[in-house]
Amino acid sequence: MRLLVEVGNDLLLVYFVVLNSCYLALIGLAFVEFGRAQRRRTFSGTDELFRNPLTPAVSLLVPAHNEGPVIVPAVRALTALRFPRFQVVVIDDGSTDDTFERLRAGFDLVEVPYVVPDDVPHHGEVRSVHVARDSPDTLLVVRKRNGGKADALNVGVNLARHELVCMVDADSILDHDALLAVVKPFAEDPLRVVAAGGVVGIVNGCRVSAGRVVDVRMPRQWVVRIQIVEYLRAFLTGRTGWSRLGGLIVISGAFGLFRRDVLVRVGGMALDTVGEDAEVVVRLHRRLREADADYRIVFLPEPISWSQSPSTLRVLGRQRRRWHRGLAEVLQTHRVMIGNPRYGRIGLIALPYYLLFELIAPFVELLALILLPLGLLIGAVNVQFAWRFVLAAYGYGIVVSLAALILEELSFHRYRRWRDITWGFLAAVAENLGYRLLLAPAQVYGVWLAWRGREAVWGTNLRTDFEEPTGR
Amino acid sequence: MNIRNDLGWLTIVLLLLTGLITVLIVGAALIRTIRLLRDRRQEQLAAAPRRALLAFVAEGGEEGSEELLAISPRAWRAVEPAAVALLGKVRGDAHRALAEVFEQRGAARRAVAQLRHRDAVHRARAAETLGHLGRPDVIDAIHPLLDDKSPEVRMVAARALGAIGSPASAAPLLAALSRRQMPAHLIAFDLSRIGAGAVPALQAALSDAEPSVRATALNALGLIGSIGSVTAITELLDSESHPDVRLAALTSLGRLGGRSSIAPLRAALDPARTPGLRAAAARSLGEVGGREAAEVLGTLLADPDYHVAHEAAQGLRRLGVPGRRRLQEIAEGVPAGPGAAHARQALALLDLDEGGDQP
Repeated sequence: MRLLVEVGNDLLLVYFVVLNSCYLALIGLAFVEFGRAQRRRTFSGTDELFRNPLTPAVSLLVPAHNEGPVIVPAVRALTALRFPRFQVVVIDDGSTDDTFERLRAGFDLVEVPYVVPDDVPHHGEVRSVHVARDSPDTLLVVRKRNGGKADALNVGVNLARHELVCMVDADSILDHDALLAVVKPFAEDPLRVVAAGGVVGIVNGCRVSAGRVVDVRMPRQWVVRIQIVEYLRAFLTGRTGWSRLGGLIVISGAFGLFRRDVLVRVGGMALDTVGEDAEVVVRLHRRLREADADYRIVFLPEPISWSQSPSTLRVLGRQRRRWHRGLAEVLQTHRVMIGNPRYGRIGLIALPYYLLFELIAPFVELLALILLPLGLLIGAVNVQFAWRFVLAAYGYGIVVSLAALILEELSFHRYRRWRDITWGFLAAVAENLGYRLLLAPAQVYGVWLAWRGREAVWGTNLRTDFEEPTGR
Repeated sequence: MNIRNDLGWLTIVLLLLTGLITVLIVGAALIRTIRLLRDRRQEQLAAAPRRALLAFVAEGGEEGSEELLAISPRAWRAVEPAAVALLGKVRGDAHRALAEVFEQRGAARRAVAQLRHRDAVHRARAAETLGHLGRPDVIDAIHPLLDDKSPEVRMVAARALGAIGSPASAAPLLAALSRRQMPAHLIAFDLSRIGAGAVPALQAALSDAEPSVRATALNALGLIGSIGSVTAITELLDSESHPDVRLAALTSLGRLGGRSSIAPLRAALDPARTPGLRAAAARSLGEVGGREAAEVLGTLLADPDYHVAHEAAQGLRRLGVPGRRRLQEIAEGVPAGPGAAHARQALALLDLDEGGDQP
């Protein structure tokens, strides 16, 4: 027993060191990438992309379920994006609130007898299709029976008439040029790029005006401030690093762009998982590698989609339970790829990383909570060692979070106020002192639900109106 | 040595981490302070020149060039990124006048020298500036950048050549496509910016061995609106087997229009062809328009492939009176044919287009 606890504690030490070293390495890769992008900003060619009639057109797919408070300003902001040719397809997935009524009133919708193709499968029956009276080719709203987010997206893919489809959450606000920036890799490398993801930022606390984020600020709630640091570390720098390594396996459902033909070829979004955004990317990797295709899936740190984040621990827990469940389902579905050299970096590096350091991490956090006190109790670990060990593990984590914050400050410096960066530093400390541990039970429960194979449902939204003042 | 009993190393690690956290926090504060001070200094330096620049452009370049030429080199460096961006946006007299200011400040000379800089970013910025200046005499200096080892420099060079618009750049741009695998859509646009002067080189490229060159030439001819190329494109379609090239040919025929485009587009609708190409042909037929196109499109509404039928219906929607008539025949047919649903959809949208469904 004593030996077991001793070895367990040693393994914990190694685990935390390797985990944080991986984060640090990804931040290092992101540092190189951000530097490159910053220096090239003046000749990015975005204006030419806007003027070019051959720039691929985009269908923006907006799945919506009970999004009444945000749907009209969100869609209005999307229709005002700077891009040469695009349409917005809103898929009302059986909302029980006034989502559709607000849309109808806001855009003067007219029902049309639309023919819906069946390029990719969906369960929820399409009830009606509507277009905006004054711009029938720009805005399409489809009402369907509730079937979940992936089901709604598949209906959107079927109705999309452009060669690229961009999935956007209904509570998201895209930067004005975000679509141009995320389409750029498709224009520059049209034969190889099949999917691209943009970074997701947290809009809570920011000042929003006329459907645009005009002043980026830290919110009042600590739980959201910590998430901002977490997003910077895990999403902005982490995914940039993975993209640089050619191992990106997650494109956020809040802002992802795909070639429609390739998406149709792989069967659209999976209907049996809550992690449909990660699943579709892994499936793309799998099918394209099995076909020996020369392809790229890229992440762009520059275009931002701003989303509302949970502002209470209860809602955050539900979100993380869903995310972790999704990850477990993806890894389970594509387990044949893990460690398989046939799938290159995805099989040998990315998926094993996600298994060892994303899926298992909450289990290890909780195990540490048991093993360390147990070691102290039976005398397998001495007290002097224990407190130093805990401090070192958390200290390394804090270094990693601070490094991500500094990288943001160096590259984009979106948070302009001194007090925001001060709160960011404090949140970087708080993230490592208990925040992850608080979320671990929800994440473990998510893995349990994946294991049990319970039916997936939409998460509950607690949206606030974009036009309400969210900043101070 | 048992690591659990030897606490020395762990204490050292803790001290190192504490030091590192302190350095990171202080470093971040320093970085922010330095950036804010630098931005403020740059802003102060650039404020007056920027006002002069905007006033100059607003006046169409008629007044204020002396003021711009009198700006100190330090202040000009601060405002130069904004000035270059402005140069790329303004047109006509204001552009010519601003380009003249750049010339007199030695920007063109400096940019030409920078084209051979060892740093790719410098080379790209130089090519971008020269493109904005629109000087045909520097194209020979830019052409070698189409073979630059950096793909970004190659793309900026192509863009600059498109902006300058010299016909002599058409052949090098087409040649770079196959040699360097440049993005075809971007090159096609750059070639189209050259205009009619590029047409002879583009027509010659239709017989190039490389499919991407043929497809790019076709796209550029379509964008230029080279009606005289319809025959050459039609002839190419007779023998072309590459799907990307066929797609580009069909799309270009749609852009170019004219009665002579209808026969090859109709031939491309053969059910033996792939649905993607047939849908493109249907879309192009809709763009060409006319009574004959309406007849062909009407028959396609019953096509088993959704996308072919959809494009045909949308094509009829764009055709005006003959399109509406054909759609009504199909929608009101008794018994309802397989294309009736597509026809009803297109008619409903057409009513909205024409404001016929006012509340």
